[in-house]
Amino acid sequence: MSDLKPATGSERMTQLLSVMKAAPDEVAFAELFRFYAPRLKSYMRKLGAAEDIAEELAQEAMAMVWRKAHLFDSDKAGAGTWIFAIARNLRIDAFRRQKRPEVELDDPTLMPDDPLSPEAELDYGQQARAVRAALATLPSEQATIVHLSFFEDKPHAEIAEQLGIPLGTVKSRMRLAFQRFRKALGEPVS
Amino acid sequence: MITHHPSEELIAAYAAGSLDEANALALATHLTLCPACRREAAAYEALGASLIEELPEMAMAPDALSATLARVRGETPAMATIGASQLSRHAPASQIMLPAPLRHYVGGDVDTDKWRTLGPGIQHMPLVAADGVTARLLRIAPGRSVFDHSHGGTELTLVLNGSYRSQGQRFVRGDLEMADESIQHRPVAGTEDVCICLAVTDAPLRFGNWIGRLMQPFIGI
Repeated sequence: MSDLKPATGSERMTQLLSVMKAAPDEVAFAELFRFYAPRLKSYMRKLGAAEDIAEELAQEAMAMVWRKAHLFDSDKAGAGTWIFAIARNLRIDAFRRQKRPEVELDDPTLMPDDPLSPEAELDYGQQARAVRAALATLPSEQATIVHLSFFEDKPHAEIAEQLGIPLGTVKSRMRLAFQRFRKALGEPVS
Repeated sequence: MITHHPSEELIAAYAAGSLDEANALALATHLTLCPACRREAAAYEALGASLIEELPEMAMAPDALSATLARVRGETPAMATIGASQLSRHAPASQIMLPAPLRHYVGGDVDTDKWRTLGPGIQHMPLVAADGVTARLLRIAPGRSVFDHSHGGTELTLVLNGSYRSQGQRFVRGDLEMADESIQHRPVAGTEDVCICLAVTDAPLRFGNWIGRLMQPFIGI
């Protein structure tokens, strides 16, 4: 978890996706597929999909990466973040049969980012690295809560029940974990 | 100027994809209007990406790549969603512009015939009911107060037009108020304009006065 491979790996993935943004490219896609598809399948399995459904959702998520590559903006997110969002929305649609309300970047009512705000100092690559580093140093009981909140489609009350700890403990561990992430991102700790 | 924001717990749950549809709608709408919270959500999505990148690989079917390529080959590239230029033709600047996530649920802008009267000077428009959580638009005449109510669960209120006062604080477009059972809530709309907000409730509201209690079974909130 602590070696540098994932960092160089995810930057490579962002380059590959930028290649696909310019024009459909099966070679770049194949490399993205080899890295992300087996992990997206893992993600879908963790969230409770059977083997064949997880395979199908991982393939469909990657097909959407191909279809939407022209919309990728490396100024806004790294490849991993962008692909995570696609997979997450796909599974909300598939598991819950619900729509996923999303911010739209070409929405005329969108309040643009303030380029002068201090939070805007980290670019998205730096942000991803900072988050990854903070995650690696998280105490295990906080890391467990963070994992469950991303990989179990459950409210905090059910997570508390599952772990056999009070809801307040889940919330306080969550809050402590968030404080670390904010600190890593150079944001004020509330 | 937005001064009331969702908790980071809510922002993280939105990024993780574990929020129900009604709360997710309130979050997507607030994030459209609030670059600071949008940035925070992006950080939690980056966290989701890190977690996925660290997951053990699970073997794909041997022909998975060629099957996926076969799926997309020959498809025409997806058209971009409705662009700004198309929208501006349909929405004169004088109208109250709803952020895109809400517009999809309302099916246009706020001047529709979908409003239903709740009481004098108050109308609502139900939008989502899923997982026991309901999202609705409220339209409150200038200076009017919403029934005195408290909450069995939690309520999010997001202002889209005008303003209201509650608990000694003022809420304007983009502000998101989080209230729970401890709060006796009696929002009063600002006098400058009609107040339109998105209200998300996860339990029936409890009205503090008899007229509200009397009406509750009929209006279904």
